[in-house]
Amino acid sequence: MKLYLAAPTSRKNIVVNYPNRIDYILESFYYIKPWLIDMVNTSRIKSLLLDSGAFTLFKANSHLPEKYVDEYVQKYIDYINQNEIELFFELDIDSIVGRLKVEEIRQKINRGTGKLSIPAWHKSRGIKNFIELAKDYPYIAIGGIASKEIKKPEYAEFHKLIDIAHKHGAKIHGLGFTPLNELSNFDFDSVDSSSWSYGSRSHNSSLYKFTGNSMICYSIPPGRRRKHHTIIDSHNFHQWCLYQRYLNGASACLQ
Amino acid sequence: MSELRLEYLPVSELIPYTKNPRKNDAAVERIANLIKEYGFKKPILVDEKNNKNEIIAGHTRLKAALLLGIEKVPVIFADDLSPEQVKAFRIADNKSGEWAEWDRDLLVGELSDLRDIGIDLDITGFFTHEVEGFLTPIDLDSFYLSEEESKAQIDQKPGSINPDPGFNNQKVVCPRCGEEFFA
Repeated sequence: MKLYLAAPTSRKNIVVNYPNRIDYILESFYYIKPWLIDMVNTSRIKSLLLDSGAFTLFKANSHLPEKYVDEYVQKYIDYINQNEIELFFELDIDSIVGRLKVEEIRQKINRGTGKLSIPAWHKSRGIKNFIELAKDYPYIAIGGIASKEIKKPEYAEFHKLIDIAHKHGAKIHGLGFTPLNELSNFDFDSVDSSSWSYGSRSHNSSLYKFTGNSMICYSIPPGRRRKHHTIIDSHNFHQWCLYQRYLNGASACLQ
Repeated sequence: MSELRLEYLPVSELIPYTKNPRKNDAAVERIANLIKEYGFKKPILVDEKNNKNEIIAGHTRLKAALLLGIEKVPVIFADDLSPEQVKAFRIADNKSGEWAEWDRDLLVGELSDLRDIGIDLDITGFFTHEVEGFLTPIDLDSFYLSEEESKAQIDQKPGSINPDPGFNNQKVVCPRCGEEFFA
């Protein structure tokens, strides 16, 4: 399983100064920076998965005219082409512009880039749509996990969706699916998480430790404060990079 | 409940179940190492009532025995199970290993004891990097101020929005779910 570490630009110094190669990074078009592309081009990052960032943009700016959506899509296409991005998501903004418009945008992106985007299926689209996507696309994603559109008791349904995808030869990505103790129970081809950067959250300062086959999360000890967020971020990023390698089946390399 | 019967049978008399749903090839060498170190301590369970000597549990142990050239292995016989029960138990027996969890603290204690008396921890079945992960404790003092230092810091900066030095008030928005937080 490929674990993409998300939100790298929120901790530029940590990522840029990481001494080892980073396997998988996910960043949003809304936040992406040239230095991250440089790291990909110089093979310091093995694979970049680009998210459209549209949900963030349009949720915060719901008044934006449709023309702006089209402009954003064109910028997204241009960026993908200019930087030769291979893996990128569609704009899964069904709740903002409607499903028909999302499909229209997806086709435009596919035509404009000459590549197939990764459709991010949402529960509201229905199972029939999921099956169609699995037939038509080599890589699909399940969205709505981080936003809790799909709730924990429903996670068991992922098995069926994963089976459908694999039966049709499609890889499947769990967007924001990173419950630490459940990752190995699901046969996602890839997932992503920004948890590594949570050490700097004031209300949820977590310290992670990769044990060799799992991650342990330590909460901030009662009554104690962080020395500096950079120390924790740097440590957490390294631990998540090790976990990334482990999940990718490279555990032998860690010995 | 009938008492279990244990016998030593030639490996050639044991019949692997053709639809065994476990992929065990990668585990054979490790099991063989365990047998080499400790002997064949866990018998193979076979069906006696329905399909004579067909393995219910212990396919990997049989492969390990073959790898090691062992001619006879300890076998216990299930003579009271229906074909359906055998089929279900074959899965349940494998699955049941996942039901219990490690008590990490006690495990670390046991591994530490073994390491201290010079036992090669590879034999426990944990990989080297797993053992290192368990036995290298996280040093919280590297990351956090002591309670006294923390309290002193708060007292020094009364009234500030957030006097935590690990907090720089930079707003971050999660690109997927849109959650906003300060870093």
